[in-house]
Amino acid sequence: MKSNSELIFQRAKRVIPGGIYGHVAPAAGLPDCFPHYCKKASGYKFEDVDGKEWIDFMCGFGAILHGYSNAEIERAATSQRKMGTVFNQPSEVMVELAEILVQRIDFADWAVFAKNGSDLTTWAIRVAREKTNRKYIIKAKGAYHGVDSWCDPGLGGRIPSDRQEILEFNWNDPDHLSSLFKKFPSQIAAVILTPYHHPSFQRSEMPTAGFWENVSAICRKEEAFLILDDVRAGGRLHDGGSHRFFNFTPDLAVYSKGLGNGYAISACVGKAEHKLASAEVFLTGSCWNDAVAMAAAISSLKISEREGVAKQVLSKGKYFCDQLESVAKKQNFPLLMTGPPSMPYPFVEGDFNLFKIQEFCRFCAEEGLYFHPHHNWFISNAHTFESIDHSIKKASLAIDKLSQQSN
Amino acid sequence: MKNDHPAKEQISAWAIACSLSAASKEMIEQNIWVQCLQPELQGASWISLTKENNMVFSNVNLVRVAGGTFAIPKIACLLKKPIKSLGALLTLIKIRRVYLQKKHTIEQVRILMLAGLETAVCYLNFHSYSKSLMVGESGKIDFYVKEKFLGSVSCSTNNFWETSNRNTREEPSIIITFKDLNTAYRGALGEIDPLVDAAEKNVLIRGRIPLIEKFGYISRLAMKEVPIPKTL
Repeated sequence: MKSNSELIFQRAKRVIPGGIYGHVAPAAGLPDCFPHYCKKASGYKFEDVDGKEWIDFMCGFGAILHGYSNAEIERAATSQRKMGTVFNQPSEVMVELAEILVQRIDFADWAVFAKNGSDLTTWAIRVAREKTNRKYIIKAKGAYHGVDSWCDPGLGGRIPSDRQEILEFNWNDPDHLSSLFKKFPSQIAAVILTPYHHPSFQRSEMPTAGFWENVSAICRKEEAFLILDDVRAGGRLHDGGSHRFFNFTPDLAVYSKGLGNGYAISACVGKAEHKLASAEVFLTGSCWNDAVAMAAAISSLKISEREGVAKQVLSKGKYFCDQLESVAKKQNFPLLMTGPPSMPYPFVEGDFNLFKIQEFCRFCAEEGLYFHPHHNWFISNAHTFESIDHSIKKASLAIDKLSQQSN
Repeated sequence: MKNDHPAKEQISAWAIACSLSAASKEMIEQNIWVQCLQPELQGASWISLTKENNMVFSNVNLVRVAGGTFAIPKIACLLKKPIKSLGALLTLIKIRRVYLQKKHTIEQVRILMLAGLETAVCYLNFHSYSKSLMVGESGKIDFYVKEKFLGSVSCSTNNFWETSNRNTREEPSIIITFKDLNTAYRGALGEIDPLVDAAEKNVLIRGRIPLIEKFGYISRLAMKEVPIPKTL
């Protein structure tokens, strides 16, 4: 008998290319044990369409920072929804949201809004090009900055000119970065980087000591923009932006995932000196003035500040990572949690081909833990220490089963 | 054959020739009487399917013939060793028959899988865009139907990709398991939908996903450009 997930997918494949596409495509995870569709979610748990309850460690791939269906944020969104969502003119909440971001983010003098990270990473590099009158952009090899043709990780629909002006350097290698500036003197508009390196299917890499200092100095000297793509990490390392966690100052920064706690919104903030250039680069979208998402973002930012959410998720994440590594070590399973503890990427030593992490996540799925084998996990502020302890016990059972299978 | 380097405009014809060769070799392994096709490039416009040069097609004609359009090989070469030419022709007919079967045995699916993989490998090695996508990639991809081995694709140290019908002990980077013969047949023909078939568990993929994403994309690209020798 087919499950509800399978039945819905059968309908989906008739009318949607691939049935489900993008990072949530079953093929990108474990289609043999993860559900295809979710029914509802609350706090740190979700229920799939077949009624199975999962303890979640993906948080809508990072979009949920305060837990699913956070009551305070839902109240703010509902209250705005009663007045309307999208109008002919922007609503006052847009100004309020910009004011909060400018007040919260130390280098920010202005803010603009869109719906997704990609909308504004692409716009940000255009602002840099407008201001510098240069064409090249440098990014780190393997870094993800969105779905536009200059950076998307897919293979289809590309033409050679898409990436002609995109250069790449190896993360944590400022000498390599310098060499690109030497090779293309006065032609580089911007360096766009995530606060730490989170390439897909690979362990995360934190910046080495002095990396950000070096990158900042190079950009300053070469008069190129330093753009921080804080779409994934924003709100999970520091409430004032991830640059504060690593102690550097970008020219522009882009946020999205944690900003609206599940409501579609992204923001780019920048220094005053780039305000005029930013106004020259056209920016709009059908629903980009969505007042409900903005009201949700305001509420989300207020909670983050009031409760020190970044510190909390870091602390809960550290507890989770330490416990999980320790349990794994005791059971001779060399699991390493890489990257920041609030959004750790699991890696099994020597498992370059990912077989072991896939098996581990399969066994964890049987225990009701939603651990993704190919993407960094996310801790939300709805996770409690009790829920983490409970999850660790289940993970330990999964490691037991994995060891029994290996023997 | 391995070291031959086709010109840009003859890659699809060369992929057909290599694919036919892979099919013939596997048939010989299975004790089916066929001639071993050993293709050779004859300049930028011609390809011989045999070592003896008795079955030589222009690039255009080889693509045509694989696509089901009538096309003839070089007559002079055909008449040089008529018996051998007949053997090559019978081999082509036998390969076609395997494609046209309504139901396939595991042995037949293995023949078609190796032929299909050889098409993809030809693109991995010679098609400039495909090569650019595979820069820095290496490893081994094993293909199974249930627990039965079908074939593999691997990259040697000199960055040359090749197919194999031997299940070596070398640890694979990816294991692809088709749930049944019909799905494997679709796989051999490049008719797998990577998103749908994975979601529906028709194909189980384990291992280094980025490698199979690239390999899958390139094989679909190859299969789009190269007619399947179904209608030879």
